[in-house]
Amino acid sequence: MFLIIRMQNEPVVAETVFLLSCWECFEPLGTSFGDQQVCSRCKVPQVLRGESYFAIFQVALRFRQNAEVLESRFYEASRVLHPDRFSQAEERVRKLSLERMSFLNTAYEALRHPETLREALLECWGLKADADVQMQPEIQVLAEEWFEVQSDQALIAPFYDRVKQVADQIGSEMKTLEESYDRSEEAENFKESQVILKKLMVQMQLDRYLRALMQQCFKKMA
Amino acid sequence: MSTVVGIDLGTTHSLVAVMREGKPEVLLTREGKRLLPSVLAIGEDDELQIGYAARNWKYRYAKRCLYSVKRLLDCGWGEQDLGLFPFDFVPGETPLRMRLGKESYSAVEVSAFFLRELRLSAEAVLGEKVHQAVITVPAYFNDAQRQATRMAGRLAGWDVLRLLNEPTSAALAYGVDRKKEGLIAVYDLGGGTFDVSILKLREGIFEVLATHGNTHLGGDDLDRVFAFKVLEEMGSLWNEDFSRLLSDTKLYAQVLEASEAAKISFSEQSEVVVSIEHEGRFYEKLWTQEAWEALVLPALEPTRLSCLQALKDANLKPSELSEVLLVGGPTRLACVRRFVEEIFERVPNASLHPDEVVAQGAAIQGSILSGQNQDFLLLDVVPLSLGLETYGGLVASLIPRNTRIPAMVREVFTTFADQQTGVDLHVVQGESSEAKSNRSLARFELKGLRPGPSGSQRIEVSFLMDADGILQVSACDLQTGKAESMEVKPSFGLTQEKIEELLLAGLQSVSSGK
Repeated sequence: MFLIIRMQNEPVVAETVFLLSCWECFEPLGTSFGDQQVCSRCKVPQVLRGESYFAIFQVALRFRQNAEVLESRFYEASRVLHPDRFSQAEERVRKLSLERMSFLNTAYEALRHPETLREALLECWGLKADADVQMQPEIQVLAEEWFEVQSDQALIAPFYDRVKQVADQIGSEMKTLEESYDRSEEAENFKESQVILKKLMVQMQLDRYLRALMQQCFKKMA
Repeated sequence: MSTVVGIDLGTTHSLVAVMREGKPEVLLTREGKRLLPSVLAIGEDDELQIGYAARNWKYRYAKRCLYSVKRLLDCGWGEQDLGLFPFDFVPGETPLRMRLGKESYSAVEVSAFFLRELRLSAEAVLGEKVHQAVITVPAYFNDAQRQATRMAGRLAGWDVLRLLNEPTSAALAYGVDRKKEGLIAVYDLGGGTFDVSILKLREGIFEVLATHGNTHLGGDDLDRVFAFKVLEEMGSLWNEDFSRLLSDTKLYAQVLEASEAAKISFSEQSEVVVSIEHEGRFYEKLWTQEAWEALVLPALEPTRLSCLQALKDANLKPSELSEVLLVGGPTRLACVRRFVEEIFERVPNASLHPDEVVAQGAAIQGSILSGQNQDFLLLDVVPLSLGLETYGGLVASLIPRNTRIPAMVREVFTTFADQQTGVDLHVVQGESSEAKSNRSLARFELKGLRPGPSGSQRIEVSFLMDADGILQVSACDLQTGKAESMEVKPSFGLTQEKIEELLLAGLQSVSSGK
C-alpha cells in the first residue's frame, strides 16, 4: 500500500530561464536559487537581462503561485544579494546588487497580490489591460441607474448591495478563468491560453468599473 | 576588516555599542557610565559640559543647558511650538539656533557634540581609531530629520554607514539574542518619539512588514501634560494668568522637573505629594496614581492609532503576533504597559533592557555591514510615501509607505499644457494626497522638451531608493532622450552653499568645544 497522495492546489513549479554561466567570470553558475543571483566564485551579482517577474523567481507563468515557494526563494536570494552584503565592495558591484535586489523586491510584491500578479501576467503575454471593452447589458443597467440613485440617500445602500453582488459574481468568473488558464498553460496549449486571457481582460475591466462605482457609493453613504 | 560601532542617539540619552565575540556590548563613556545623557551645558567658568556633568544643570539653571534637541532636528523658526522648550532661541533663524552662554548652536551641532563624545569614548575603550558607525533614528523620522542626523554624524567625525530604524534595531537585538522566530511587534516609546514596527523573523532574516509612528510624541509629553495641569492649578491658586506662568521659563523648568519626578515615583508608589515653591508662593497637592493616569494617558492615544494602522498595513490581526516587545524608558511605567496590552490584546514582553537594546541592535547591523556577520540580514521598508507633485497640487505616489528597500520605480508622466517646453518636478514625502500638506524634499526642472500638444510628451520619472534610504530622482524625456537627475539632499529651505557653510562653521565650534 502506498501511503502517499498528491497535494491538491499545489502549483507545479515549471522550469524557466536558468542562468548557465556567470556574466562576469564566465564560470558555470550553481543551480540553487541563491547561486543564480550572485556568482559563488567571483561574488558578483548577475546583471538583469530583462527577465519578467515570473522569470526572475523561476516560477511558471500562472495565476496560482505558492506563497511558501516565493517567500523561501525571496529570502534565499536576499541573503546573498542584498546591498548590505556589499557594503564594503566596489561601487560597480554595489550598483549591481542594488539593481537586482530592487527588481527582486518589486517582483516579489507584484507576485504576492492577485491584482498586480494579473497585470504582470498579461504583460508577459504582451496584452494591455486598458484596451477598449464593450459594456455588458447588466452593467449598462447599473450605470444608468446610478444617475437616479445618487439623488436619494435611501436608495444608495440597496444599490450598493446589488453592485456588490454583480462584482462578486464577476470575481468568481475571473477565478474560474484563471484556473482554466493555468490548466491550459500547463498543457502548453498557448492558443487557448491566449483566448482565455482575452476573456479575462474583459472581466477585469468590468471589475475595475464596479469597484470604482462601489467606492462612490461608499463615499455617498459616509 | 574595520570596526563598525552602533550608536543610539536618543532624545534623553545616547550610547555606543560594538560586537565582541559574537555579542553586542555597550561601551562605557569617558565618565565611566553606560549611558551618556543627551545634555549639553555650560558650566560656571563658561566651559562646555556633556553627559551626567551637564545633566546636573538641567532644570536648575534652565538657560545653562540644552536637551531633548532630537525633537528640533528638522525645525525652522516658527515651525514648532517652541514654548514647550525652556530654551533661548535665536529669533528668525532657520534651522533653529539655541543660545548657550555666549554661543548659539543648532540641534545638529548639539547632536554632533554627543556623537563626538561617543566616538572619543569608543576609541578610549577599544584602543583604536573608530570612524564607521550605524546610527539609529526613529523609524518615522522624515528625510530632513534623517539628513540632519547624518550631518551631525559627519560633524562629529563619523562615516555614517547606515541610519537604522530604532524599533527594527531593537528587534534585531532581541531576535539574535533569543533565536526567536515568528511575527513580532515592537512598541517603542522614547523620550520624544514614538514608533511601532511589525517584523517577521525567520531563519536569520528580519523582514519589516510595516512601520508607523510619530516623531513628536514621547514620554516627555506625559511630563508636559502634567506640568500644564499643575501650572493651570497654580494660576487659579495664585490668581495669575496661565500663559504668564508658562512664559516664565524658570518656573516652567521647575514644574517640569517636579513632573518628571512624580512620574518616576508613580512607578513605585500610588500617591505623590507635588510641592513647588516659586517667589515665596507655594503649590502643594497630593496626587493619586489614578488621577495622574487619567490626566496623562490620553496623551498616548495617538500611539494606539499608529499600532492599529501598522497592523492593518501588515495585514495582520493582533492574535497572529507571537510577541510584543517594549522598548524605550517610558515603557517602564505600569500604565504604559497596560495601555499596550489593551492595544495588542496580550501581555507585552518587557524583558529587554529598554535603554540599551537599540544600541545593541545597531552594533549587530554594524557587524553585518562590515561583512563580519553573514548569519543575519535585515530587510527594511520605507516609512513614509514618496511621490511627485502633479497638476492641481495632487501627489502621484511612486513609492508608497512600507515598500521594501532598495526600491526602484519608474512611471511615465506627460505635459498638461500645449506647447510646453519644460516641466517642474517636485518630490514630496508624506501620506497626504495634497502636495502642500506633505514635506517638500526637492525641486528640479526638465527643460528642452519638443513643443507639442498637451499629453503628447512622454516623461519617464524614476525614483531609486537605496538600502540606506537615500533617494535618487531622475527624469527623462523619452522623445529627445534629455535627462536630469539629482540626489535628494537636506535643504531646510537652504541652498547647498549655505549648508556647506553651516557645516564648516559647525565643525569649528564642535572641535573647539572641550
